[in-house]
Amino acid sequence: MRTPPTLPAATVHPAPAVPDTGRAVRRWWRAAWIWFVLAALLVLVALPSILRQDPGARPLGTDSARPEGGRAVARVLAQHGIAVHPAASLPEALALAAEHPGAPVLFHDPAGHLPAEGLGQFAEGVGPGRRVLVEPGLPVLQALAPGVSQGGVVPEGAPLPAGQQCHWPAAVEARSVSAGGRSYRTGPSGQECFPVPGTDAGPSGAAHAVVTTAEGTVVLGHRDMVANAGAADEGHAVLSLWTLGRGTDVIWYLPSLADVPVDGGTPTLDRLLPDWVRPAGLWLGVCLLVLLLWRGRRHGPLAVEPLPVIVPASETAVGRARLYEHSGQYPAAARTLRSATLVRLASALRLGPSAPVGAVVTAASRASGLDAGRVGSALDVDDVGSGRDLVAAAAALQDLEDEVHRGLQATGTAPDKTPTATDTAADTPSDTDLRTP
Amino acid sequence: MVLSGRLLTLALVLLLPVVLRPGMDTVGWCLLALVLVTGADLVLAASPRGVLIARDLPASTRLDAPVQNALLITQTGRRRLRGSVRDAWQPSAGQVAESGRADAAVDLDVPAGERRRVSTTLAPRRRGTLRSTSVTVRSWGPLGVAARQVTHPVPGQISVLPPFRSRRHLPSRLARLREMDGRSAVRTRGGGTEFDSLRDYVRGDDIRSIDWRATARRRDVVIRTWRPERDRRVVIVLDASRTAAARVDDEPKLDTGIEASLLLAALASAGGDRVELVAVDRRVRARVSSTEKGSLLHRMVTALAPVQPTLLAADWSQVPVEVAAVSRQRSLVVLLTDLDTAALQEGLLPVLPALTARHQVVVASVADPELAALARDRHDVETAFRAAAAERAVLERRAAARELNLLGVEVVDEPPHRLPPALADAYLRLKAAGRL
Repeated sequence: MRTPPTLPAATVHPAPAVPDTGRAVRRWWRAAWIWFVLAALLVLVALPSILRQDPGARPLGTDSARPEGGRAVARVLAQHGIAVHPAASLPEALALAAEHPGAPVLFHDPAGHLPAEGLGQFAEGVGPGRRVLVEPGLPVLQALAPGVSQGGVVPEGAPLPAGQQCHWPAAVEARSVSAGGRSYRTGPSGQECFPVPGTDAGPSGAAHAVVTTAEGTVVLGHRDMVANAGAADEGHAVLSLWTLGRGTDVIWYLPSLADVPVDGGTPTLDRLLPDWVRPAGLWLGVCLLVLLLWRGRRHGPLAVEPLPVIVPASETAVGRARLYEHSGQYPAAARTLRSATLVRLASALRLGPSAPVGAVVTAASRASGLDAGRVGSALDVDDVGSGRDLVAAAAALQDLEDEVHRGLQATGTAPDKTPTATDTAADTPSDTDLRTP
Repeated sequence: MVLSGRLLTLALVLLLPVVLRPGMDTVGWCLLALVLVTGADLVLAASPRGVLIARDLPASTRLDAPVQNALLITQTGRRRLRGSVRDAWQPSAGQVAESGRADAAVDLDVPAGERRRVSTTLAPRRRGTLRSTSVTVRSWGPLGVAARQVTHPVPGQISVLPPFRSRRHLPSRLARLREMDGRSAVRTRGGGTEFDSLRDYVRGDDIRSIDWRATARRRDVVIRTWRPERDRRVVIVLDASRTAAARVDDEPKLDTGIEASLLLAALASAGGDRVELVAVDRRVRARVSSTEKGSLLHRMVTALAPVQPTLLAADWSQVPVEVAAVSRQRSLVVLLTDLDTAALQEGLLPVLPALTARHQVVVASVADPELAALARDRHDVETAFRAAAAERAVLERRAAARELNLLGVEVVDEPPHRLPPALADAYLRLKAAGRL
C-alpha cells in the first residue's frame, strides 16, 4: 500500500534512531578491543610452551636440550663417529636392531608406555648383551634383566664410590656417580657397582646404583648418568660413553604413546558401527545448533509490563477463617453464623435491626410453619465444641433461613430479594425496580 | 543475526554428503558451505539500520475500543528491505497482528527510497498509560536463510481511558430527571424551592400550589409549578488508596469507583448541577471541575486514566480542606471509598463531622458478592469457618453503615455492576427530596 503524502506523521525522525553499520561496528570495536588485546597477549605467552611440546622434548630425547634431555650424550657420541638411531616405537626399534646387529640399545620408559607383550618382543629382538636400561621399573626388569631386583630409591647425598666388589672396567674407570635415582641388586653372577650406603643391613646385601648381569645387560640406576643435566658430573660421562659407545651404532629407543595398546581386544560399539555414523552424529549436532539459533531468536527485546497490585477482596475473610480454624474457635464461629442469621431473619420478617431473639423466633416459626422449639434449637449454638457440631449448626441455620424464605414466598410477603442471594442477574439493566424509590 | 528454517533444511540436506562420503573433511567442507551461505545472505540483506520509523497513533482510546497502531517505515538505503517489524508494546496493550503471530510482528517489504505503512490492532486490557519502548526491524537476505535485526528506540504511548460502561444506565436516569422537572418535588416551601412556571390546574395537583393571584386574573384555577433546584454542587471524592486496590469481580474497586463517578457526573451536569471531582490517596491525584472549559466527561476520563491505586492509607484529613476549596456553599459530597471497618475508624470517621455539618454526605462502597457466596457454602469444617468469617465481614460492614447513617450519611453499598446506577439513584432521590 502506498502511503498518501499528506499523512499526519506523528513523529518523523530526521535520521534513523540507530547508528549505521559502520558506526555500529566502530562503537562495538571501541567496547571490545581490550579483550582482543588480552586474548592476543595470552596467545603470545602460551605459544612457546605449546610449541615446545615436541616429541624430542621427552626425557633423554636425542634432540632435547632440557636438563632431562639426552642431546649432550648423543652429540658426543655422534662426534666420535658413532651413529645414534632414535626410535620412538617398538617396530622401529626392532627394525633398527635387526639392521645394526650388535649395536647397544638404550631403553628408557619412565611412563611405562610399552606393555608386557611389547617387552617380550623387545627381549626376542634385542639380545641381552646389547641392552642398556636406564632407571627400569619392575616389569622391565622382569622381562629384560631377569635376576636383577629393585633396591629402592637412592637418597640424595654424597657421591657414591665404585666400591670394592666392582670389577666392571667402566665403573672402575668412572670412580663415582652422584646419588639419586633408583638402586638394584643382582646375584653373584653379575657385577654390582656404586653401593648405596645404609642398605647393606638386610640379608640380600647392599643395593647398587649400577648393575650388570652375567649376560651383559647394563642397568643404570639414575637418568642423570645420561641426561644433559648430569652427563658431566662425577664419572657419568665415562659410564655413559663406555656403555653406549661400544660399536659404531647405538639405538636410542624411548617408548612413546605409539606403543600403548589401542584397545583391550574386545570389539567396541564404535568398531561395530558403520564409519559414517560418527561424522553424521557430528553434523546432526551442527543441525541442532542451527535449530536452537533459529527457534531461540526473539524478534527484539522483551516488553516490560508494570504489573498492578492484585488483592482479591475476599482475601481477608479467607485469612480470618483460617485463623479461626487454627485456634479452634468453634463457638465463636457458630455465634457469628447465628447472629448473621438473626439479622437476616429480622430484616426478612420486617422486625427491625434491634428485634429481640424471642420475637424473631416467634415470627420465624409462624412464617415457616416450623415448631418454635425447632427454630429455637436451630438458633441454639452454645454447645458447639467440634468441627462436626459446627457444620451441623451451620447447616441447621441455613435450613431455617431457607424454610422461612419459602414460607414467606408462599404467603406472598417475601421481600423483593433475599439479602443473601448472589446478585448475578443484575448485570442486565433493570430499571423497573428503580422507578419506585 | 537471525537464522531461518531454510538454513536448517540446508543443513539437513548436507547430511547426505556427510553420510555418503564419511570423514571429518566432508564435515568441514559442509560447515564451510553453511557458513558461506549464511554470510552471503547476511551481506546481501538490506541494512535494517537505515530505516526511518514514525508512529501514527491516536493519543488516547477507551478501554473497550480497539485502536489501530500504525508505523510508517521509510527505507533510505539502496536495497529493497524484505523482512518483518515488531512493535514492543507491553502485553496488556493487547497488540494483535493480522498475521496472528504471537509477538505481533508484521511482514514488511519496502523498496529502496519508499515508505510503507504497517499496522497492528491494539485492544488494551488495562486502563492507564501503555507504552512501547522500541521497534525491531528484521531484514532477510535474498536467500531467506539469514537476517539482520536491529532495535530502533522509537518510544510510543497511548492513554487508555476508563471505559464508562455504566453509560447505558444514563438514558433512563436522564428520563427520570426530566420527569422530576416540572413537578413539585420539594416538600418544604422554603428558600430551597425554585419557581418554574404557571399552568392550569389538573385534578390531583397539590392545592397548596394554587396561585390565587393568577387564578383571579385568569378566572381559571392556575397553579405554580416547581422544578428541582439547579446549580447545586456535587463534589465527588474518589479514594485511590490501598483499599481501592482490592479486586472485586476481577475489577479493582478504583475502576468501579471511576465508573460510578462518571455516571454521577454525567447525570449531575445534565441536571444543571456543578460537579467537582477529586481523586486522593496521601495527596490529590486528579482534580476536575465542570466549571472549566470543554466536555466534563472527557476531562474526567483523561484525568482519571493514569490514576492507579497506591499501597498507602488514604489521608482523609485533607478531604474537608479540599471540599472547602472547591465549594463554599452546601454541596452533595460523595465519598467513593470502602466500608472496611479499620480504615473507616482510623481515617474517615474523625473527619466526617466536619463534612456533615455543612454538606450532605453520601458514602458509596463496593460490596463483595463473593462474601455472600462464601457465606452460603457450609458443607465441611473449612467452609463453615469461611462462612463464619464472611458473615462476620458482612455484619461489620452493616454495622459500619449503620454508624454512618447515625451521622446523617447516606450509604450506598452495592456489588460492582450495581454501584454506578445505585449511586445515580441515590443522587436522584436526594435531588427529588430537595436535600442537595
